[in-house]
Formats: sequence, C-alpha cells, structure tokens
Amino acid sequence: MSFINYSAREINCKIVYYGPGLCGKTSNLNVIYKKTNPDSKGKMISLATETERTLFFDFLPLALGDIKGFKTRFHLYTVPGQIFYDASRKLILKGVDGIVFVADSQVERMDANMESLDNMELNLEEHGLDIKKVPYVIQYNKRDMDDIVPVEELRKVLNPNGVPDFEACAMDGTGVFETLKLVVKLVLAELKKGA
Amino acid sequence: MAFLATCPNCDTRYSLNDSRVPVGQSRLKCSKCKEIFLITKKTTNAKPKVETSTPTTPVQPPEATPSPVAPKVESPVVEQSVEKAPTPPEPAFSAPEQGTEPQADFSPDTDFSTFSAPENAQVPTPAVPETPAVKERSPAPKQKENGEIVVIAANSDESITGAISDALTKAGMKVTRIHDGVEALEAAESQSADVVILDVSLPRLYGFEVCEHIRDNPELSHTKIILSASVYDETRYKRKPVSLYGADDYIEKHHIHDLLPDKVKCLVETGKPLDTTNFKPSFHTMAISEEAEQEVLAVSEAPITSTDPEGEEKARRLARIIVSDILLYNAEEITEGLQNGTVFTLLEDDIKDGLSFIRTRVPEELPAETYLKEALEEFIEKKKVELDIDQSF
Repeated sequence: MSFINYSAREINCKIVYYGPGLCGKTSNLNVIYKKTNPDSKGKMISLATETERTLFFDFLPLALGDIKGFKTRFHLYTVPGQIFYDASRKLILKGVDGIVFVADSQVERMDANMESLDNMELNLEEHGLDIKKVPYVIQYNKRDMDDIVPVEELRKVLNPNGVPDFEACAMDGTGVFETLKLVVKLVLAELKKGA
Repeated sequence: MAFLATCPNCDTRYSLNDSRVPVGQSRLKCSKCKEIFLITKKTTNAKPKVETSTPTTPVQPPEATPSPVAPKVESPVVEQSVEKAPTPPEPAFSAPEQGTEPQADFSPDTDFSTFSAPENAQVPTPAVPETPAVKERSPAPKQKENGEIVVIAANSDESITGAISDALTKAGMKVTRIHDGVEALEAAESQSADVVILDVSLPRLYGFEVCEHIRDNPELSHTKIILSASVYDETRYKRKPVSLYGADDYIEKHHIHDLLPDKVKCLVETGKPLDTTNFKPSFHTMAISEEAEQEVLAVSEAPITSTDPEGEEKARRLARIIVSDILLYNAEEITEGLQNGTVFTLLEDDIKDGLSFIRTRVPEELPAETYLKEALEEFIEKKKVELDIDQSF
C-alpha cells in the first residue's frame, strides 16, 4: 500500500524483488543503483554478509516523476531468497505495491523457483493480497548461463497467468531497467486508478 | 469412511464423505483452482479385473477426428467379464503404493535416462506370463471388426483405465482395461493389440518389462506402446523423457482426454509419435450426469494436510530445495570439502539449520532427516562427478 506524505507532497511506493536464493535480486538493485542519476537515488542499504547472502533485505529509494503534483518515490526491496528465511520474506512483503519475481533460469533451480513462487503467493495471501491484483512482472534471469530452461517452458511453469515477463542477465545489466520500468508503470497506473 | 481425491491441476487433495460420493464416475470441482476433474468410485461388489469398453453409440471410423467436446455418457461403460486369477482388492483411490512391492517412479517428472529399479527390487519374473493356469483363462484372439483400433489400457488405478477407456471408446476404438502387468501382456498377445498403453509401475510385471516382452514377440511387431506416467505431480518441474525403454510415445495423465486419442491414431496410422509441438490443451470434462456433479460439488471439503498421501514426495522436494540452497551458498566450501574429505564438517551448521527448518514443515512421522541426508548425498555425488573427484566419504 503506497504511503502518501501530504506535507512533503510525496507518494512512497514499495516494490519487492522476490525469488529463490542467488537468483539475482540483489544484482538487479546493484545495477539500478549504479546506473541511476545520483540526484534521484538515496543510499542503498544492503544487509548482506560477505558471502552475498541477503540476511534481511536490500533497500534502494528512487525518485521517479510526479503524479498530480506529488513526487513519487519508489522503495526497492529484495528479500532473502534462501528457503530458511520465510519470516523475513513475509515481513518485507507487507504493504507491497509492486512485485518483481526474479526466476533463476538454470535447470537445477527450477524446483527452487516454483517453491519460491508458491511461497510468495502464500505470503501475499497472509497480507490479504492477491497476486492477480498486485502489479507484478517476472524476470527470467541468468540467460547467459549454460544449462538453462527455454523461456517458453519457464513461462508455462512460472507464468501461467501471462503477466509481463523479461529475459535478463542482471550481472551485466541486460533486462534490469526494462523490468523496473514496467513494474513502475504498472504501479503508477494502479495509483492513478485510485487518485 | 473417507474418499480421497486429488486435483490434477493444483495437486490439492480432498477427503470426501464416502457416503455422499456416487458410485461410478463423477466430476469434482477443485475449490482452490476451480479445475473440474473426474473421480471414480467403485461399487462395494468386487468388479472383474478386466473391463472392456466398447463404443456405446454408433462406432465412428478410426479416421474420424474425435469430437472437441467430450460427449456425455449416460450409462456406465460396458464391462466384459472375463474370468481371471484372483487378485487382492484395490483401494478405491489409488495413491502411490508404499507396500513391500517396489514401485518404479517412471513419470515424466523423472529424467528417464537415470531411471533404474531399486537395488533391492524383487522384479517380478518374466516367466509369470507363461503360467498355464492364467494362459488357459485368456480370451481367444479376437477378430478386429471394421478395422477398429484395438487398445489395451493397463494401469493399476482403475480411474485411469476408466478415463483412457472413456476417451478412446468415444473415438471409435475398442479398449480393454487391465490392472496388472502379466495380464497386460497376455491381453496384448491374445488380442494382437494395435496399441498398449502402459503404466510403468504395474503390479506383477513392470510396464517397461511388459514393453520388452512385446518387443521380443515377432507376432506383436505391429503393436505400438505408449507409456503413461505412474506418478504425476504437476507442481514439480518436469523434463521430457530422453528414453522410453522401447515404447513409442508417452502420455501424462492430465492429457488423456485431449491428447491420447490423437496419439493412438497417429501411431497406428503413421507408426510415428504425434508431434505435439504446437499442441494447445483444450478444456475437457469427463462425462457424468449433472446430478452427480452437483452431488459431488456439494461435498468439496478442505484440503488434506497432515494426512496428505503425497506428503512424502513433498517432503523430499523440500529437502532437495534446502540442500540446493545450502550448496549454492557454500560453493567454495563444497569444493574444498570434497577435495579434503571434510565436506560434512564444513557444512555442519547449514545442515543443522536445514534440519531444523524441514522439521517445521514436515510432519514428525516422516523421516525428514533421512530425506535431507539422501538429497545431500545425491547432490554431492553429482558435484563429485562435476569436479572429477573419485574418492568416497
């Protein structure tokens, strides 16, 4: 749920990057952070260990244009993907306005993708949210790896509802901004509906 | 007494009040995903083990395209009573068996190339079909009428043979329903079947063994074989099988109605499997009366949780994901541990976390620790091959 600060004339929206462990959620945020105009972004907070394990979340604030005189500020979060940290994932989803599900395209991670997707839907339900109603896009990451699942098959398994999806290689930035732009667009469209 | 059913679409399991489920085939609507699927309830009287269905309405020529909408069947399928050797009664709802008889998991969920029977498997002897007593009771070879396609549908689950029979009979084919590997082979021989549809984990003789026998029999050189998945879990990621053990094609249970008739025809007419590259599944519901539908829809109840018969498979899947995560986050330790023989020591904390976690999700009666250990050993074996490490720990 977006937070509107009337005195500062700001709308704050929350976008969560969800997905299994080491699928590239933090890499997405790193690319966004590095390539965004310094005036538009706040400090990126990453609660990760030296082994790149996101223990709680990554957080990146972005300013992206105005709606009816209100500045929109997008707060990008990632969740810890490792299966153990469900409590953290659930907490981070609270008040979400848009979701990017980052899938790992590697064959050996398909079970983990499906588990993560199921887990996301359950956690959303617990917050009273329906995945079919929340602005939501899917990113098939790691397209540069060797043993990957074809996109058609990924779609069949992970995207039965046909939400917008993108191929990506977050390590080199491919597909990262396309994904972000679309989820932002969907969130803004939702905001305008209620404006 | 409860009647168990599983939604083939989302895998949700239901426990229905047995007294409210009508005998025969009924349609059940999943309250979770809204999928409508078939359930079959047997009568309390023992049924003959071999049931033959013939088209109930004027027989369509085999060349005819099956109707895109499954027609209604107003009466039960015709069953041909054939005297068979006595077999123990089967549960009304067939779940993966966990008895002493080894069950081969040969579904498309599995990479077929790596399939092997369990080491301790008491593989039924191929000599069984030669048992004279059984042979003598076999029906005499039947003349094919009007070039109709003769199909043997062999599956231990009667609801599956029922669905196959339903789909193929409507397409003008003659279907004999069998629930055992030995009988499947006998029927294929005695009827000189055009197509045999085999569940792989058939009782008494595995499907792939039936397949071998058929392939070794010159009189059945024309017989085409389609394997059907013995276990189907739509929630699990599947890869196409790379080996069919001599069969010509395979079918997943949820495609029996929309794909099987075409697959059978294609095999018989061209000798080649149907190209399903551009196949788009159509919505089919199995034929039952509206009354029965209402009756069954009314008794949809909450999904089973603690008594989920597929709990074991789900627990194993969870174990695989946990291990996959552990290994993914500890790549360096794994390599080092495998080279020094200290992999379990290095991963001790993660394994402990994994065990604590799986215990929170898996009922106590299931051996979660064993599942985790097995998954870990399996992954480590693969990793050793990747790293070309030969030692064992």
